Amino acid sequence: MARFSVAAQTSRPAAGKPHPCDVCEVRDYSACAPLDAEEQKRLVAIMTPIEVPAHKPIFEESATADHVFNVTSGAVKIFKLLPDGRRQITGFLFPGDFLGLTHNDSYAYSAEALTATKLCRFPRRKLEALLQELPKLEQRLLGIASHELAAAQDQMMLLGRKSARERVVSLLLMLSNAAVRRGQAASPVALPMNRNDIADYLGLTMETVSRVLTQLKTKGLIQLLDEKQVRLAKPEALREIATGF
Amino acid sequence: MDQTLVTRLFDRGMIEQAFPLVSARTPGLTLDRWTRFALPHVTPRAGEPPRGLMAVQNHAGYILGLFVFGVRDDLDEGRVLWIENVVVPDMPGRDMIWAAVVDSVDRLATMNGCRAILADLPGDRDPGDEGAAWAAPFLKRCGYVLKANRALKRLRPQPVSAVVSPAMHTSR
Repeated sequence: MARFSVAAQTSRPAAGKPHPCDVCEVRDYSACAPLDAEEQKRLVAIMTPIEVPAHKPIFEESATADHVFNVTSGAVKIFKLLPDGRRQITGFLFPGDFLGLTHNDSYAYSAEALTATKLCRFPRRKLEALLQELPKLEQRLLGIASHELAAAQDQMMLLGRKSARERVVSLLLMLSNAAVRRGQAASPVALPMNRNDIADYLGLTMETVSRVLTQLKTKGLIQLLDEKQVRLAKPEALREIATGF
Repeated sequence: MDQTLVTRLFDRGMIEQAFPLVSARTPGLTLDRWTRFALPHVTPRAGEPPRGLMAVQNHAGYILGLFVFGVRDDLDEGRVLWIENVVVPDMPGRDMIWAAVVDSVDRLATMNGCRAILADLPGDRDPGDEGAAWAAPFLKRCGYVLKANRALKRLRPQPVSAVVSPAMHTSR
């Protein structure tokens, strides 16, 4: 049985309120972008908008995977439990990202909201049936799916970088690039995750992450606007660091 | 957005990148174990029949599928291309990944002068295992004939001292 967060609330539009799709900020770059009005209608017919409060689970690894999700606002962290009981954050997902990768009908990762997050929830089997009839959607999904997989592969490449500084800078640039893909500015970069999450994701200690950020700030490469925002003051220099120069 | 999938031979740098894909299929798999498995397949050896590890990548370079292949002499079929350890994630659009795998396998078989293709389907081969269940209809449509004549016996790990070489085994 799927173990959805009890906190996840469906949000069916009340009479007189606009449908979530009509005010969706990620519509132009999410899975449904290439669909025409009729196709969109069919997709919406099987979709349920849900809202998950910050720090609450969206789904858990190994739970029965009855649904897949499209993030429409907020931020999500995905993680796997290691054999020794520790958990490894494998990626961060943002509006437009699609998640729900499964193995033998179970979720391959756990997903938790970093901030108050809105998602479109689709019954997996119904969506697969619909994909047979909507090749445009299938192609689009393949192009963007699965973001869990892409995020985890990004992390593997990132962990292959040698120094803590290269890893931290690479993450900042990744987040910046992701923001640009969502039509946002490259800087400042939003950090909805805490330092502990960043450390876990990068395979570093929290102290090391904080120290590297302070070093980058001292050298004028970044500006720490607050706990959750970083301005990339010298993007070119940061890119050189990320590539090991 | 370009939706083209490409297949390419693995190089060493892709082994780590592929780990999230294979660990999603095989929970509990360690990076070390995966690397030890994959390395021999990306290391060409002169004088041996062709073999390798092939990746299916999307336009952004993410690995969405993989399979191990090799050429062998089969008593019944002659020179065959065999594929095994096929990893195609269970996600929307997986038929397109399978299509890229099948297309790549066909080309490999032709390139290597093979007379047939033998494919070991993904999944645990247990009745009702979903991994094999959804791959089977696709392969049938691609001209494969399913033969459910494989058997698997999992053995208990033995301490090294208890392993008996065939030469030491006698039956009276």
